[in-house]
Amino acid sequence: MPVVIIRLALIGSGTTSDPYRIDLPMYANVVTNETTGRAFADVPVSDVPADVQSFINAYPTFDLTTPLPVPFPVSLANAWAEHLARQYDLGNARWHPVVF
Amino acid sequence: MRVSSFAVARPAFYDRYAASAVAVYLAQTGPHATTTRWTYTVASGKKLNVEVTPTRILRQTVAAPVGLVASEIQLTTGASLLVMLSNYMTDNVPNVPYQKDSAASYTMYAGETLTASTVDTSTGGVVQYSIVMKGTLFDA
Repeated sequence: MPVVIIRLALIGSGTTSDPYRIDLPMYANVVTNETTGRAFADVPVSDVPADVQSFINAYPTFDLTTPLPVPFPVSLANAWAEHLARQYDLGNARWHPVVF
Repeated sequence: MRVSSFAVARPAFYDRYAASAVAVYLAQTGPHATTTRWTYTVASGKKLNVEVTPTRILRQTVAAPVGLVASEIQLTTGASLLVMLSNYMTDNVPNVPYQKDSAASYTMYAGETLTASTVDTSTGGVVQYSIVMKGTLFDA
């Protein structure tokens, strides 16, 4: 399965019941920085809409500390959540990943 | 009179648009809070037969003091959270592998999620982790 490496916002608190994680249905090879709240992850290309991939290509990230030059647009975040809801078609299961 | 039946056996799962499903975490890192390293969610209209989930923990440099080092695979089905595999150690000797695999394969249904997490409560030291899942995804 082809993947794209994306720097995303971490959610969770690092406890057993609420581990640090990424708000996506499928990802692998997570590397985190709990201090900055960022993580790199391998995400299936099919789970990432073309406009989000364009944003990632326009603002490449090389570490887990340097902030993005522009915040991830809310419109793209909403479009990504809708894309995932359609892709997985699991009723009320919803994910809201954020490029961070 | 000719007697015939139109009943046709359903293809086996591996003939229903089957494809390998893989999730991997291979890395070495220092102490950290509980962190999910990969997640696999079964989409609507699919099933996943999880075949193997080998895990390995290998301390590379000593900690001072050593704490609990663990990797775990959990299955979320509805409101239930099931620990499918737990691999842990408190060994402070480098290069001693702790390996575990799941005892049997199991089937996951649409909406169910498999996650792999790691934790290291030591102070200092580096540990290498390998948590892998190989399964077959097919039409439900």
